[in-house]
Amino acid sequence: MKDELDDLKAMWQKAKVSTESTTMVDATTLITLGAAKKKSMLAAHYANALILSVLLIVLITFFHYIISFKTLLSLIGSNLMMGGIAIRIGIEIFSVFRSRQINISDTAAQSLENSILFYQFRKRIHGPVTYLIFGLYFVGFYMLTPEFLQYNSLPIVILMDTSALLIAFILIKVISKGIRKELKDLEKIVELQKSLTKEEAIN
Amino acid sequence: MNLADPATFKTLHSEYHRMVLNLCRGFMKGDVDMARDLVQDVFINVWNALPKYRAEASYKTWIYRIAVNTCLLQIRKEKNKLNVPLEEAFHSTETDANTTQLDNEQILYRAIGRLDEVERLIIMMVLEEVEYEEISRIIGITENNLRVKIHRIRTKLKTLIEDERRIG
Repeated sequence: MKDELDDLKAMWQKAKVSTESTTMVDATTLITLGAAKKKSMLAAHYANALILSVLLIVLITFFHYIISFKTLLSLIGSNLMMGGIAIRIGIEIFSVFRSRQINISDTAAQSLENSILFYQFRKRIHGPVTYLIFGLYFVGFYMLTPEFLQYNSLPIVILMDTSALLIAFILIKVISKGIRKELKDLEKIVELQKSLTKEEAIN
Repeated sequence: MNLADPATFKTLHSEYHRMVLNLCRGFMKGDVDMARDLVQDVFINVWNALPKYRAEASYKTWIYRIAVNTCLLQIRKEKNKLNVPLEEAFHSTETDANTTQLDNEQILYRAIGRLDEVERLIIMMVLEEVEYEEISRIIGITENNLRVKIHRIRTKLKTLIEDERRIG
């Protein structure tokens, strides 16, 4: 068996010769690319939290300074909308914190284990929690309808409520697509981990 | 801001980029262009991880870990790219070696390409003569388990090489 391995190594030593002439990107360019990648990763990590924060600020401004709701139903509705978004922002920030626990210089087994824990966490928050927050937001929105009717004509309110339905439909599609992608990733990582850590015995 | 020392990074790049390229080329089934892109990703990750290097492992082990993890991440990022047929993988091979050597090279890469991802990474380190103890520190499995895996992989690789020779 040792000869067999030596044969393979000898074959490899000959085969890798063509790799020797390969030109590589120089280190200075890699440093520039590294800095750019770090920036874009940071932006990507916080993008969701940032977009949701802007939405929250818009809602707070709208509900507190532009429309001042008077009925209890509307107050509960507006708070459900804002509360749901605030919780989601918290989850997004926690998600960034969890993703940073995956260290690229850990052993492959450790890195896969941390990736699995991260994706299992994402699976939980992307599934039931996201739909719950999403539900709260739209229930809250429809709770505003009676008071909106006092200040707007019926066709305008119908238009608002129907467009909200359309937005809800699009968001459900986008979320489902994200969940499917992350579940596929999770399956692949679990498969890799099994292949890597499976205890084997010589036949 | 990255607190890594550019001089240290340049030394690491010059010392280890061939080692990483060989690993990546095997992982990419012999495709030099895709391997080069992967090497670039590996060293970008090395640069970004350098401020956190604590000398608990040698630079070689540490860079191998980053390279292995980057390869495994690549599977998730670009699954389709990795499914490039082996015939296409050799279109970009830069070599002026004689036909026999090219044939042997293709046979070896084709055979390695038929191993699964984890097996490919392990055998590439074995062929590069990395010590088993070091491979187990890179992968994170016991040395005993690694030895059994290597035994199985090299038997499988030998069969695949014979198979490739027969196909021609």
